[in-house]
Amino acid sequence: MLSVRGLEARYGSVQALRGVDFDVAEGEIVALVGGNGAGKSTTLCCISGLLAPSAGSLTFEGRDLQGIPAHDRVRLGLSHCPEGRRVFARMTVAENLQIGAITRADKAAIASDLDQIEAIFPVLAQRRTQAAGTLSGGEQQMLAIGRALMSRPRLLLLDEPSLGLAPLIVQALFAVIADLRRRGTTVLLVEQNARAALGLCDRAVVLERGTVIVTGRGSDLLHDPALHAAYFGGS
Amino acid sequence: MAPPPPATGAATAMRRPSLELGLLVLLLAYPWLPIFDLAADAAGVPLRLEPRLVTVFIYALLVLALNLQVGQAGLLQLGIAAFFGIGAMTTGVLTVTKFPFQLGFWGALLGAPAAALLAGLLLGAPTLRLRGDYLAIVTLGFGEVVRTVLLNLEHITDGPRGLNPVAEIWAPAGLRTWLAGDDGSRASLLLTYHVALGVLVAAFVVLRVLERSRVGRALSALRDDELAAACMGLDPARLKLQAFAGGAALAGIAGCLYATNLTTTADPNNYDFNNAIMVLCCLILGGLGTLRGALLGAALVIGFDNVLSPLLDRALQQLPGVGGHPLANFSAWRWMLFGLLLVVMMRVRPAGLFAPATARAAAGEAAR
Repeated sequence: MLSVRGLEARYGSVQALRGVDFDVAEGEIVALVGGNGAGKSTTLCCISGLLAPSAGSLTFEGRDLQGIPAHDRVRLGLSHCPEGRRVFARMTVAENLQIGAITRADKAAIASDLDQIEAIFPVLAQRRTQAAGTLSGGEQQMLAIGRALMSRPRLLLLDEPSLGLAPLIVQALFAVIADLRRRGTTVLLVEQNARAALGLCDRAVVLERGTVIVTGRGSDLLHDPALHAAYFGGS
Repeated sequence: MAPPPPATGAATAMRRPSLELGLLVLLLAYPWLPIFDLAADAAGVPLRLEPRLVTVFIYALLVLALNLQVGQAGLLQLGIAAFFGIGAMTTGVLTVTKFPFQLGFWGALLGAPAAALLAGLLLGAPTLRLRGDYLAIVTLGFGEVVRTVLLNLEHITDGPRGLNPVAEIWAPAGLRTWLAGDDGSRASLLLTYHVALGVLVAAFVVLRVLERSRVGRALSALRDDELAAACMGLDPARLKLQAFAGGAALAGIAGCLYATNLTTTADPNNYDFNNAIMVLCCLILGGLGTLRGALLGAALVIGFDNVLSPLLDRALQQLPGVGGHPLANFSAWRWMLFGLLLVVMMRVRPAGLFAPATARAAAGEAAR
């Protein structure tokens, strides 16, 4: 579905990605894991078009993404839920969700998707008319994911959904992500919480200093001693 | 699911149009029932309200224009007076006898916003990628450049004298007689009054529809978070340019009415930075991003400046023992009062008088 080849990106003189290669197949949950500054978010930004790569190629469903601006990639079925929630604070929860569907014109389908998202996140239905800025962190994260889903993406790019959330809420959120796949959405997930991400995903891509060092099945990597040593400390 | 009512509740949303409609009827009828003028006469401080209301209408248009740019799209710009001036000057060029066009008011009412729109596009296309403060500085500079150019292009603009006479509003003779009988100057005044009011109402209605449309929601998303808006599939660059150029065009219409009302394009120094700041103050006082707030701010500030302040001046001058004293001049003090009011506003209600609950919550967060 998505293939990333030789992706390089730089912020000024700092090279953040030094040739990243991986694929995401339809119906998968793929986790990008790695330490701080490994290039996880940068990779997502290149895929969604928020950042222009300096080299390499991105192909989504057979289409070369080069030169397609971020806002047009949403129409292709790529939805990026950026790091740090970034809900529209002064708009209500319902307005936030409607903005998520702003590229779509099929009113009936939007309404049914809205119902579906409120079924996934019941708290959003309760807070429908509340300003998004007044929601708690976990609620805002749910809103951000719900909003990203309103464009009915074929591939959802999730950046650090667990950031700053209580462990119980993270569990619930991960259950929702697993559920998304059952509904036919492919997910590319960036996580610092590698243990949780590896438990959830089908495959994981481990990044370190801008390159892929390991790829493999999440459950295998979870017990990979080398990875343990590198990311979880101890043996 | 039906679109939910705004956070202020369905009841207020229902009451809103009737309040505005009532105000509109009052303003439409005012020239035939000049209660204020009669009261002022009786109090011995003669003041005619209609011409001053025209000024309020024109500035209200300008505040609405700025609201589209600053309030709705979140583009802090300090050069609104430049588009006002471009609209006024275009009206001059299109109507005075010095030039061959002589299209009259109605032609200028189309030409002025077109010229201002073009200027908005030309300024906006390269500069709207600038963020916050930088855009403010560039637009401030643009405002000063336009003012200086208008002052110095004397063979076109007649410099500080301004182009005149700008055409009056043309209307069929029957309408003029119906409005004011044989009194020609009164007919002109009433025409200007009602056309300005009509344009204001039309702009308000269009902006209200826009606010609740897809574009309106897209603009508020853009204002809240540009990156997230791009992630939703919105094109920030295009939206910003549309809002900026739209605001510029509306300011051009205000400029057209201004020049028509004065029958001259006036000294270009009228379209200076102070003017831009005053319009911004109206907007901040009333409530950034709200149409009603924009109107209220214009009514309060421009009304204060044009109605209350001269009224107090005249009253003071007639007080025995005070009249004639150089300090007994309220107009000279009004800016101080006005500045004080703004300071108090920022302290007690930073989101403005008419701010929706969501904006107030956001302002509270910012001030935390």
